[in-house]
Amino acid sequence: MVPGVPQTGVLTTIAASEPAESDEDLLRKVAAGDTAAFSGLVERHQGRLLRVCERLLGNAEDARDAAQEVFLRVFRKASEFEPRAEVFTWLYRIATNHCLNRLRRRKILRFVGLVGDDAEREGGLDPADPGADPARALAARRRWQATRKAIAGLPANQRAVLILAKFEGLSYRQISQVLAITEGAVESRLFRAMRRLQSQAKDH
Amino acid sequence: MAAARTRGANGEPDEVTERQLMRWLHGELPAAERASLAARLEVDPRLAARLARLRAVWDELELPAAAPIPSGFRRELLARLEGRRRPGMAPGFRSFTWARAASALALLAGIGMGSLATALVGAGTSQGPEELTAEESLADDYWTAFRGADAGGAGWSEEDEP
Repeated sequence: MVPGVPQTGVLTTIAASEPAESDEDLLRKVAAGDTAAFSGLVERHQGRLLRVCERLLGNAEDARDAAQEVFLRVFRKASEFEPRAEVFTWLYRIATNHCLNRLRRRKILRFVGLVGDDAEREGGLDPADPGADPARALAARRRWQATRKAIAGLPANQRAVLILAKFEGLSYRQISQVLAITEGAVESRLFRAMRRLQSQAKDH
Repeated sequence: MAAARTRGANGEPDEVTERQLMRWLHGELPAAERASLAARLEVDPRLAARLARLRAVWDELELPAAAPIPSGFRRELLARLEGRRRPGMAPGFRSFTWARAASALALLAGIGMGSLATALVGAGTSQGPEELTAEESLADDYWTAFRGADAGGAGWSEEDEP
């Protein structure tokens, strides 16, 4: 969220400039087996889901496969979507649950020695640009590790708000809808998270 | 909302103004407040310095940038979907499925069910958060965050009091 920069949250992508179908309408059609509607849903959400999968799994290749699995699951489970939730929060939950399961399977396979203990891959910190300067890549990796450590030091409810605000680019209003809390609560939790991060920064 | 002091005992901007700075940083201030705060920032170097420190903390948070959407992602996905709906027309996909099944069987045969049970327990089903990998921890947080709406949110707590 940057002053003057339009929000990129999904709730704002259904612009008023043209009468696009809502996510709920598309999903209803998908539940009836409409592959054109499914294609539309994919086009609308592929960027965000790919990013989340890559962020969680650590590399673009796994993310691509995971995101496809997520969308295939969405197709199969479209009829199970409950309208009281937002479609995009439902998609995110499927994606994060799928990635969690993949991470745990990866851990099992490493435990039994079926895959190597590839620290680079496991660390999930491959730079997006494979041609990146090694020194810059190392510096970036350290920043990512510091970020994860900082986030891990926050209480759970503050972590959720911070992640949604900082890394998913949601507005306070959107976060309040995702978490089913008031905007005031969003602001309070984010404020306390920022204070704690500032305090941590001073300690280092 | 509690009555707000404009300055703390040491003359520094108090919590209310800190919140305004945060909202400014996040593009969440209404237009009138934005203009008012902009005017204050112009003339108050200490306030500007506070904003700079807040921005530094915010900007320091960084996770890997995502790769661009791979070309053919949607086409490939639709092909996989078609293959699942018409198994006879997508032998490649079926081979993939059988390869996965074969790997799973080999896994079970090779390590034994007892070891697998141990592995499953040790893989995080009952681990505390400190034992999760960084990726698992972040994925857990995402899961928790997006489960919030269905779970009725985390509820109002005292710390949410503005």
